[in-house]
Amino acid sequence: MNVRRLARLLLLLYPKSFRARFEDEFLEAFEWHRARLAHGRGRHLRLAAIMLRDTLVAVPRAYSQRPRGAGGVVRAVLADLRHAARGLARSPLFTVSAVASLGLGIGANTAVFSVANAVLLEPLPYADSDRLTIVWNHFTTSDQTRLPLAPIEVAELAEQPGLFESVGGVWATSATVTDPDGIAVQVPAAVVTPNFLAVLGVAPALGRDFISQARSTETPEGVLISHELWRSTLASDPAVLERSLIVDGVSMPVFGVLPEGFRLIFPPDGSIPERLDVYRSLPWNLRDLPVGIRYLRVVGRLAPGVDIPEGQASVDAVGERVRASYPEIASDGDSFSIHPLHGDAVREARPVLQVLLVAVGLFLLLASANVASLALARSSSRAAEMAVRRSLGASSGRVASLVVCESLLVGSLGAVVGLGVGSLGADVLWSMRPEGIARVDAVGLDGTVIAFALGISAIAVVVSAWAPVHWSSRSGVAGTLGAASARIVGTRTRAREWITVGEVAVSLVLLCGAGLLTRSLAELSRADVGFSPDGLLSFKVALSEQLFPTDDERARIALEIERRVGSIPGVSAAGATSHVPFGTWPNWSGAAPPEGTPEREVDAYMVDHRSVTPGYFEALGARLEAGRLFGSADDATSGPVVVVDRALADRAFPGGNAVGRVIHPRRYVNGEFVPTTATVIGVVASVRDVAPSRPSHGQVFWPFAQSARWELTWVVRSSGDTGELTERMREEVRAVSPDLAVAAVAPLTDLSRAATAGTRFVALLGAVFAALALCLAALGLYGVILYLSSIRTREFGLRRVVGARPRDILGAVIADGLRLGTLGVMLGTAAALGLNRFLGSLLFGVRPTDAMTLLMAAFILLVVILVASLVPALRAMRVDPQVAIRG
Amino acid sequence: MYRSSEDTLTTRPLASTSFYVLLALADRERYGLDVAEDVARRTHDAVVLGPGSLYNTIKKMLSEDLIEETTPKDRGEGREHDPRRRYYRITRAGRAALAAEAGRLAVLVEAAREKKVLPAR
Repeated sequence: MNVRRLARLLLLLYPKSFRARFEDEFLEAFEWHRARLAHGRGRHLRLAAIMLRDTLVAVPRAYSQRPRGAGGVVRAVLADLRHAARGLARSPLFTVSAVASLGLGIGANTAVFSVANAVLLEPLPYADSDRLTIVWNHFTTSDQTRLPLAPIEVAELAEQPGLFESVGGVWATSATVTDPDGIAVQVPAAVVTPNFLAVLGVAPALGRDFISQARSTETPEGVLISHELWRSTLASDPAVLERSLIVDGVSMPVFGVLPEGFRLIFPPDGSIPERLDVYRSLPWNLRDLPVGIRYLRVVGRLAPGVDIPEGQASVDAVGERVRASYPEIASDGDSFSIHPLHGDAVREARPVLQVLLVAVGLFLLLASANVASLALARSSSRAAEMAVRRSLGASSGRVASLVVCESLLVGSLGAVVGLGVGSLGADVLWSMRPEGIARVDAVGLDGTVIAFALGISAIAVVVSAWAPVHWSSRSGVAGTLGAASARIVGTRTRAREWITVGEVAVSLVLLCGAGLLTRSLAELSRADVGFSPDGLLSFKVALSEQLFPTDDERARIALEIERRVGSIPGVSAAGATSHVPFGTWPNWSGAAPPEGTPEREVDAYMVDHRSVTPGYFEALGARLEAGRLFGSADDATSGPVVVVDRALADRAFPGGNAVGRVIHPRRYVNGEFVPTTATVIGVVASVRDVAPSRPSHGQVFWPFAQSARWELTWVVRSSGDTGELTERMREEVRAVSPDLAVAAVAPLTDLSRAATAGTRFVALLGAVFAALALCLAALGLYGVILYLSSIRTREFGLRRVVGARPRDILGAVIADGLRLGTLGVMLGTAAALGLNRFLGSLLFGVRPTDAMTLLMAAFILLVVILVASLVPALRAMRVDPQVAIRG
Repeated sequence: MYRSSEDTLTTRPLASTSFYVLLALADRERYGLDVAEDVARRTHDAVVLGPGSLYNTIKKMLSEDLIEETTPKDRGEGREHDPRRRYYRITRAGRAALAAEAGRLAVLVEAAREKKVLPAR
């Protein structure tokens, strides 16, 4: 054994000072031990044991005995931290202002990031969710790019080799569930391919999935129910799998119960609610289903090793095959597109959250700049103290260490306050969230968010500490106490001025953004949606085909409900539609080409189809522009007639009168969607029924008696009490049939507000941050102007003595403020013009470079600057010239 | 930590390693390894000071002024010395601490004899 080498290795464990002093003796002692143990059994082991024991005991003691100088760095830093803490305690105004500024900035960022993290960054709650994709249909000849798929198309996708490990589809509808007490309740329901839940990697908490059933029938039997329905309707009966549930009047065995909290996370325009209470299965063989109806939202789990570009190439191949094999449903302009499910689900939330993150980032920058300015002001008042330290031998590093310690303490306190504000802010944001952002149950401060908060705290400390540290290390003894002091003060003052200019610039950017969003909201509220949502109450009634199998029966029921509800005192009009404006029911769209349209151009007339009762248009307040509306004579025995909206009329019959013309829309009759020749009897003003910001791309309305769909939303115009009206409506509907249930009662204005919730959310938060930024900038400017006027006190005194008037002094100080403010506004304008284009998708009716908004923001800012400058200006104006000269 | 005040030293017990080192230096100055050899010999190898423990203790005792390093001039002419080695001798404070500790141990030994843990003299 090479003892000397071993000894040298062990010596490395000891402090440097020990090695320098005792290395030779240590090695000699090692040799002695080896020689002592040279004979006898286990000598190597005994030597190793002695050395190990000696090392374990001696090394820690050697470090605890290090000379004072070696541990001095740590002790010095601790002393600086204690000194900094005492200094901050002696300056409560500075400390509170700085901690509050940073805390607010860090808190706002933490709150927004916690929401962004939960919505955008956290994976979907499904197994290997990064492999899940969504497939959309795309009609290039129309503007519709995100349409569902037909069952036959899903079957073709499943058979494409090397594309998907598994692929399934879901369609959202509703069902009437009758509880054990005989009370019918309408619940959201789904129709799914048998493997849909397996594609997501979700297994029932109780029972089994459809796919686990033996294929002894054409369609898997029974229903899967949500955990919430099991609890509310079946009292969490543990024997639920032995029970049946009456769904749409039919007794169906309960096959399984889904896990508690299970949610379907789909893009908002997929019209798939997060929670569906009843799941029914489609047949095993999707090719047995009608070919021409597209209604399935399709989710595919990519095969191992396949990425999105490869997936797109594969679905393109499937598209070609579908067009070739099924020309009756697909034409040359049709194609599929594949997207990651996660990214698609948050595509509407992403721009909202990104804008908010930029806004709070700018706000934190402003808050940090404010703290830097405060710290610079404070450092100038401590210049003498720093000079004394330098004269006693402290290095620049030691002097800077004091400032750094102060910044660290302020930053740490700011981080603690920020975490508290962030946690509270996250809860507030979550309670205000618009529908499109509802992706998870709740947000909170997890490890990622806390790490983010600490990271931005560190950045904020660096930003706020850089300037004062820089100046503290530059200012020497001579510089503070000698002739060079004026130069040092001058550069420090300019630094504060530039910081203030930056704060004003950032404030303008935030003000401008808030202004654009607020104007968008105003434009949205003024947008002509084609009807009057005020005073309208809506509710849903499902006329399931199991309960009312024939079109005639459903038409009779609908007309009876309309008559009864319309006769309730206080109701001026009532009517129903298959798709209420701003509703979330899956859209019914299809081609409605005018007569004589070539086959290859049919898809250019893809429009929304609606089935409505005769009283609908009047209840909605839709404007008739030509022809007539539906009457009682427009029933199943008369010729097919439709009402079209202005958008379709102009597109199909440009420059001409659409009334009396013939088009070929699809009609829902006897459970199928069939092309029908229909005569246009009326034209109504276009109704914006997706969102106030989205113009109609064409609508065709069927009389309900000629196209009796099963899900209806009623709109009731009344002046009475909503609670009483709701109760009366329930009574009237139950009087028509006890199997009917009223659901989703809500004012229509709630639906229209939900459609603009995203813009409102960002506008509100943008306004809050802009207001806070304005306050911070004003405070920062006030501080700088106050300082500038204070260092010019003697000058003002002299000017007064030689004849200047008080208002001249006032003007001089205000000019300083306006000078800084104008510079900030100019810089901010350039920045706003560059950054505001990122608001594009959130704006309505106003351009990102809107001059009026920019001018208004600049005007508001300059007024605030004027006011902030006025107080120090008035102070300077009132100073006694004699006092000022004497100093 | 020991101060040079003998009053303090007479009230605080010595660590065992320090006692051994002081005992080794009580009769003459020695270099470090010599101290270890002396301790091993007196205790019949029951106590063998490892190099780390030995020199940690020497370093600590130097800082506490219980021992001091000697120079060849201190040792006087004719005294055997190896110029490569550092020699140490006990200080007055060290001798006082050693005496105090020895006295404490003597009291304990006497108690052990009374209790017949050790045979009587």
